[in-house]
Amino acid sequence: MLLLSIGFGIIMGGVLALAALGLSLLFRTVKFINFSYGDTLALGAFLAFLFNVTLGFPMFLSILITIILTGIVGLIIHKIVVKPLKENVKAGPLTLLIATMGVAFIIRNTILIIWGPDPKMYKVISGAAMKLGPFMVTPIQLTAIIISVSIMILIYLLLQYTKIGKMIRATSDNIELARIRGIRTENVVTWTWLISSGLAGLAGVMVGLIGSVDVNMGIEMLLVIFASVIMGGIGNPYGAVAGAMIIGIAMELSSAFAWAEYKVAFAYLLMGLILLLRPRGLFAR
Amino acid sequence: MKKWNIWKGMVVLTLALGVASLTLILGTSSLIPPARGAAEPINIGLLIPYTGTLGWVGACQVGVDIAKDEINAAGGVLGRPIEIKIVDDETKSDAAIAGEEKLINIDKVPAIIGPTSVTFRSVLPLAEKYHVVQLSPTAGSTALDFIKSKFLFRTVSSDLGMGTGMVFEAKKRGHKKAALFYADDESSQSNRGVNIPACKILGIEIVADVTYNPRQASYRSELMTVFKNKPDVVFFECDPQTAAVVFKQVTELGLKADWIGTDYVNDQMLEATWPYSKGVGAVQPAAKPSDRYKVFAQEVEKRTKKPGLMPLFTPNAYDALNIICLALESGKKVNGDAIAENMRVVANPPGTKVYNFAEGVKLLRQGKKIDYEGLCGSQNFDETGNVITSLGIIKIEDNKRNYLGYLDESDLGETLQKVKKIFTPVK
Repeated sequence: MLLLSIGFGIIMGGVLALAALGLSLLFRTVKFINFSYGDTLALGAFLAFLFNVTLGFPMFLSILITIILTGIVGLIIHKIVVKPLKENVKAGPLTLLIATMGVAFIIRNTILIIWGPDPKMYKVISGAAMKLGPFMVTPIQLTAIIISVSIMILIYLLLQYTKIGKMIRATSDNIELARIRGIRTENVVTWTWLISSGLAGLAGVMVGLIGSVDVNMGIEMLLVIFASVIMGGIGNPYGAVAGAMIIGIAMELSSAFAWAEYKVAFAYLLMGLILLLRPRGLFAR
Repeated sequence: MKKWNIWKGMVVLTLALGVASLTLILGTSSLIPPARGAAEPINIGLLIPYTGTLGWVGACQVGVDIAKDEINAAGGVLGRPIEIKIVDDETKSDAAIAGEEKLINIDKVPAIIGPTSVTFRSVLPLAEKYHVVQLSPTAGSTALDFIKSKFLFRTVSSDLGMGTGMVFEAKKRGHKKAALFYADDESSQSNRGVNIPACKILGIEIVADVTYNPRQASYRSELMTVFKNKPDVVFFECDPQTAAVVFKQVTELGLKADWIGTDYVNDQMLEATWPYSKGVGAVQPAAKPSDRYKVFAQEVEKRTKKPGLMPLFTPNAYDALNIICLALESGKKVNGDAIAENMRVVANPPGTKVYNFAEGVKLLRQGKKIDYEGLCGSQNFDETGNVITSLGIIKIEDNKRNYLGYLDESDLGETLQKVKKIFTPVK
């Protein structure tokens, strides 16, 4: 049962890690919490539903289109809401957080108007779980983990070895110095919004594949994503991934061996305990 | 740059004006007085969830609509038409309280149909404070079984009947070991609280008891705990969002048992879970088939445009508005006290049995006593405003909820009496 629960936790943690990576990457660059991130995740899940179920596209194509579209949604949020507030009224992080709260409500209610409150499922048959050593995993879940891990590796390679990745890291570390060095920081911020929101959309599809698609899935996952990001160290994308894995496994273990009804509370308790020992997070920079 | 800012500003201003105008129009339409000569309508409140975990309950509104149209076609109450004022309680106490205040203080309703078990006790103090009848067609919580309030009524049985019926049915099928899988909310815990003593009385061993947090992305660990000691039957309650995940993961993990649920096993759950919910069953409020029910079902189909669909609690909601309006007519005053004092007068014996508002109001105006018989049962209120209604045994097959049989609570007889003696209502 212990290893089984750890296996379940890895599945959940893997998907959570994808979402946490995107949020942490964005925070590192723009220096405020994007509260609409959870609802962008939900929007991604519903867009994939639109293409896969309503329009009948194959799932892989639906995922690709969803990543592009949610990236564009992130870009629109940046251009229409965040950038004008920053430039015209010199809005600080708290104002931007509240503004993105408003965006979150708009996205959630738009989803409600278009798709209604009932949960949805993709046209992908789940299939029975296979035994892989002490673990049980379905083909869909295995695919979701492989996709999540591959994307995380891609993001790592992007940040470490590509020009845009280096520019993102430079802008995150010191935006003024980056500008002085000739980096077009506005382009960097644009790319970060695109990548972050695309990751949110992809994470939404992964959650929909292993669970279901629901209008409130974004806001309900957002707090757990925050906990992962904070636990790992705010602004450290790799820390966020580790934090997400820890939280995913902890939640499954608490369901199996302690109190299933408090699994989410357990995740926050764990976050609190870790912050007591390491106030800036496990892998703070 | 400047032109773009002006353009953006104009777009935002236009949108804001549009939203404000729409709000004003919708909000003040009720302030427009009726045409000269028309009788002023009597407002009756409908406070049920259309969103949230119990958003599927909102579909029972069609029962209220059918009753309203029949009542108005029969000339209305005291010569006045009935208007229904609807508020979504979002399955949340704060929204329910705000909705209750709005219905009572702005719409001036003397009676409110709703809400559900999750929010009923939040609004009851307001109903008592303002002397408004609170009649729920859906709230089965056992916590309401022992509250003596002049204004509290239900047209659906307490969970005592449904919870006992679930175990009774499992015993009939020969099951010996049971697991419980319920959410941490009042409605779920109410049913769980009845399953436990019922299992004890009927000799079914409880081998797992898992209380879960609803609307999570994974229940694998919880489900492995439920199935650790190989139960024959799982008694459960899941909202559609949770059920979508649960039954998918039950199928993935190859976990086999007879699943018997509550009134949450409805068409919304079916849509969210098929084909993973194949074989899942339930014992839940249902009207027994009759000629009268057939006619009602045809009308529901006509309005919903969904063949074979009878949203849960629709007949109970139909009975609720009929009884309130007959009580209004009997009391001859449009206030909560008069309605409350006449609910048992029109719904309980003695009196001539009537089956709809038109029949009832005709006899009332002749000065005769009536006894309204509901679609779901006799609807005779006891001293705590409770009633006994029939239960249906269903099973999900071929993407449909099929009825295997029915239980009157009198069928449960001795078992129900024994359970009543030892069960503890949810706090």
